[in-house]
Amino acid sequence: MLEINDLKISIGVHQIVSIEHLSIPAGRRLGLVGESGSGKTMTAMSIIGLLPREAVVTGSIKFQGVEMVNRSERNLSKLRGSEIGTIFQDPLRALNPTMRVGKQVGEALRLHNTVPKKRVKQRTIELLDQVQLPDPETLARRYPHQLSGGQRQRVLIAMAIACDPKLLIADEPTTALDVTVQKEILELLARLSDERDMAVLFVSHDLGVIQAISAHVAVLYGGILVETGPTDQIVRSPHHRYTEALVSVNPGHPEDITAALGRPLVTIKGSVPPLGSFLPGCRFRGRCPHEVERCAEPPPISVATHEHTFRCWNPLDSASSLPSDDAELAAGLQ
Amino acid sequence: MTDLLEVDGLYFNYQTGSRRRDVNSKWTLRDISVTITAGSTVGVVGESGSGKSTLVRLMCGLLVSSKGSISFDGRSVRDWLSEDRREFHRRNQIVFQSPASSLDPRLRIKTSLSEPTKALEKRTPESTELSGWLRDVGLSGEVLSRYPHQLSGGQLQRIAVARALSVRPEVLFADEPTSALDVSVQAQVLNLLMGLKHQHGLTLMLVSHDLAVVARLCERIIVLKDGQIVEEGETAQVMTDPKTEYTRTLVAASRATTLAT
Repeated sequence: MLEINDLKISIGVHQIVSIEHLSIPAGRRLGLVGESGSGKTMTAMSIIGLLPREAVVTGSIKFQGVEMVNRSERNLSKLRGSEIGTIFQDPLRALNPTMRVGKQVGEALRLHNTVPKKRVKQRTIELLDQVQLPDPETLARRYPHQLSGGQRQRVLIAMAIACDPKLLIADEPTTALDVTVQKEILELLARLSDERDMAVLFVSHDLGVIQAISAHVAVLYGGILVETGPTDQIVRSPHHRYTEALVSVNPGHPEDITAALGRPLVTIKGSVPPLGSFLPGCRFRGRCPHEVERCAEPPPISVATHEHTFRCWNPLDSASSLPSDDAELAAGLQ
Repeated sequence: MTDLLEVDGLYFNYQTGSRRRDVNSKWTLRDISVTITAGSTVGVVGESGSGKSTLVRLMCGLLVSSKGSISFDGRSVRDWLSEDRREFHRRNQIVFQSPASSLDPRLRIKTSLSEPTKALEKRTPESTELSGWLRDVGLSGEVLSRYPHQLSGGQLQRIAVARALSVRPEVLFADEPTSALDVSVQAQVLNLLMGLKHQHGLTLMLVSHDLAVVARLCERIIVLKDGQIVEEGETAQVMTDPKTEYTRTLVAASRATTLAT
């Protein structure tokens, strides 16, 4: 349903994102994980053409078979909010502070003529009910500042799903929320996506959150997809050294809490280099403790198992997976 | 182990002038009593609005309570603030969530780093001292001439820690010190705090919404809900056998969204 090929996003002389291939079949939830500056938000926003003016996009993003790159603004804005829904990290900034929330949900419906005018009100209440907001009639008359963070995010979800989108782009939607609310919102998103067969691109810096919501994950580092595949498999047996590091820095919930207490956490050396200062070859060079000479060349895509690919010259489980020519062909490289 | 900090029957309200101050539900903090022994590491957890940041701000003297008492080293914080304000602040330091906003963007790191020494010890630190403090947090002297915008979030938080420790405090309060940082940098800063704590024999009070982090660092956990302590105990007990339903919900939510390998 969504198919990205040879996508390159650059601003000025810096290439921010370079993705050979990434696809989301209908109804699937895909997590896009990366640290700040990894290009995850740029990738997600490029799908709906919401990039800064100076960003240059080349390659292909096909949504339901239709090319999205360099599509006219008019065409894109028709798709945004109807075929593709979006929710963001900060629900307060995404809502109009001077407008009652019910009216804002109704606006999403009216804009795309989803339902006849006289049914807008009724449909709004139904949507607020579907995102499990208590007493939707009363809540529809409230202003954003009268709601809690979790309630605001639910209103935004109601707006995003108002026109039955086929794809929902969720950019760090739970980062600003408390753990308990985060859990509820994740459960809600998973349920809505199951019920409506709605694909979700879930962007987050937190692999734990992604594991909770999506069965598939793509790991982004320095604008390059370093590993993709089933989330549980990648978390249990990461191949790329960056993914390995990302999993091991997680404090987790150790079995023996007393024994783990005060023990140093695993760390990754240094921090993500600023734009334009990555070393040639593998982007993780310089921070990777398993660097070999070949890492100065860009590593090819290798296949670990079905659906699980990575690009690393010296992977964690090197016996089972060597760079494969098939994989390169499959990914449409060279 | 001596009791370094003692909070007894503490109430706090941000709208102290308001007529509503007697209404129970309007208290930001209600009937808080805690004892912190010297050298211990205590975690404060709770949802946003539970009052956890307010509690540490009161304990380090940035806010003054409406009712109840807080004492540090056997003397009430109110007295400390009126009689020996500088000494109190020297011995109690705090690190905030956002390193970018806790450092003045117009000042070079050197100036920001010198401030506590100038303000609390009335002297200008030597340049060897400055680079020594930076070395302790794993940074080189080069950053002294830089401005905050030229450094990464992790580097800035290290500087904030170095600045807090420059006056050799006994208690370090850390209010969500890693929430604004990337996961890979989070572990570095947490390890740094643990290392410095042992090195300097600090008492550490860590505020965090992340139970997984608190459980790795703190011996004791205080759980706050709507301005009240609902549970307090040893980490292993709170995490595995919570006494209240609320703590159980918090632990379950944290487990559900923490990486399971």
